[in-house]
Amino acid sequence: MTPLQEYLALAVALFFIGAWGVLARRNLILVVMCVELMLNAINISLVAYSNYSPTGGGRGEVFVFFVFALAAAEAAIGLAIAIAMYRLKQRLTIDDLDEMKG
Amino acid sequence: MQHQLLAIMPELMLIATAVVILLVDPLLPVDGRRGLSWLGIAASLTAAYATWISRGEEFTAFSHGIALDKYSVFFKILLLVVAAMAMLLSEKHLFLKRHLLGDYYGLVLFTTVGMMIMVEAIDLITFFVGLELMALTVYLLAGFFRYQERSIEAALKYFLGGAFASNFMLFGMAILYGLSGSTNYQEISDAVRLGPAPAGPLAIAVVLILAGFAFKVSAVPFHNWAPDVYQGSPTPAAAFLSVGPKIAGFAAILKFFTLILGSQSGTWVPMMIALSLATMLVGATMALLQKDLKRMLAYSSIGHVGYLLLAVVATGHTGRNLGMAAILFYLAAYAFMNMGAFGVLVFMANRRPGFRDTLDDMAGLARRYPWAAAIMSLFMLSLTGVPPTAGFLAKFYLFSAVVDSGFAWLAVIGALFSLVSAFFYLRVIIYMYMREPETELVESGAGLEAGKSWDLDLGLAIAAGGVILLGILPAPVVNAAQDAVVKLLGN
Repeated sequence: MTPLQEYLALAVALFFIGAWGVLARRNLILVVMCVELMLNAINISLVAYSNYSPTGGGRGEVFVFFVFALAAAEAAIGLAIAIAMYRLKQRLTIDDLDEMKG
Repeated sequence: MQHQLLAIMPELMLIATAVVILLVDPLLPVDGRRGLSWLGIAASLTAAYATWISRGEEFTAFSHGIALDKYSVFFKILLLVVAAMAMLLSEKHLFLKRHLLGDYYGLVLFTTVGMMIMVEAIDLITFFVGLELMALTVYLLAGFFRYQERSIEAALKYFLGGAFASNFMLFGMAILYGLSGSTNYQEISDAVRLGPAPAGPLAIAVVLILAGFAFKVSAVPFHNWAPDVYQGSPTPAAAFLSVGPKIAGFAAILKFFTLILGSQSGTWVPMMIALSLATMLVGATMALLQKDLKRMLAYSSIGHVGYLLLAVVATGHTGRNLGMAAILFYLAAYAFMNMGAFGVLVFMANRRPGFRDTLDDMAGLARRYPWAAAIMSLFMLSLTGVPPTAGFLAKFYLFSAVVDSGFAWLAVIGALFSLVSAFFYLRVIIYMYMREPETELVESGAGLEAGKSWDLDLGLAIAAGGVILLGILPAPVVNAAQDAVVKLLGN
């Protein structure tokens, strides 16, 4: 059986790939995708923990369903903002909106 | 089963009203939509009343998902009052800016439900759902003026930062679950205190969760979004999202860090002290440099978060309820004075179409609008902490609790920063009373008539009344706050 650590290593790796993407990517759609990637990394860790837990089996899977629902809602909101931005700017580069500073 | 649904009756009322508003809105003529704000306000107040009559009961519902106790009752009523005030401030402004959509009130109600769930949750999953319901809806409120570049910029920055921070917090919660094998606060607490939870991963979980919360309440170094979001959002929405999510955030921070991680205070108290000092420093110094009042208020609210974190430190260090009760009272005072200050900006924007929220635009206000200038002065004095306002007592209770916990030096630093903050608050009063406007803003008689609205005036009157009442007769709220925290700390 694969040890828990390997699942967690995968989860951490995916999580930081997603985090890097959020910080480095400039296209809003790609950033939203990277946010979803981070959520999926968390899902992997939740399922792995649940599977190896001596007492709390099942709760992690339940949590994952809620994270799925959240991810869908978050994507909807992110894309709604993307549409509003595209109507104003005809571009989706997040650096374009940088009017306020100080 | 019936019992369980009764437990979330106030939330169900808000959800039902929000759905009705969203469904009815497109059917109504534009003028008819203005009544929808009253529907929302009525729902909030009814829900507050329903919460109030259940104040004596204490039970958990939904397989230990939520706990109804005095703590959640205190916060739920406060949040519902804030929501009602936010809707009072909004209606005229949305009408004048031609964004009169019922969606706005629906979103405010959904945000309030999310915040209420955050406050009463005693399970990670329930808490997380509440947190995200709040977060996703406030992004939309920030971007509600969707034809204005600044509003969309505010929504974008809030969304990107918020989603990023939520993910870190969620990862921390996943680790907590992995270490304890449970999502229930009490069971996690037991596992963390007694169990074989390894120290390293536990510390990582604490750091991740703290970082997530720090973003939600805009503590330094995760505060960068706040000035941009407040400046870019519609002003009444900024009033709401500078108050509501902070109240809910602190309610959840207190539950998390005393109930779950109380035994780990050695790990998080030093981090919280560092956060608090940095937050007070940035809040006080950056506010000095701002010309835009919404940005100034954003940094001012960052400063207040710094003081509140001091009291969280005091609570965590001693485990005594003095600091916690002080936080509850401070949040109530902060709600009224901060909403009021933003409310005066809404008032000005309604009266003067060219109003740009800057300090210069406030010049000579006292001559034109003596009442508005007077209550703005009241809010500024309260934010500074001058007696006999609510802000003074709030700071007094808070700093006494910090001294009581043995951190006298932190209280001294906090008081010094609060002295610095007097400079930029009083500067607003000086501009209003002692400066002449550089260019006389032209106001036609018709424009003035159009800007009048008695619901905004009512909202401002409630905020001002709250600031004065809490400053003169604090006893009921102080007692409620003390009752509320007794059970949470178990002493």
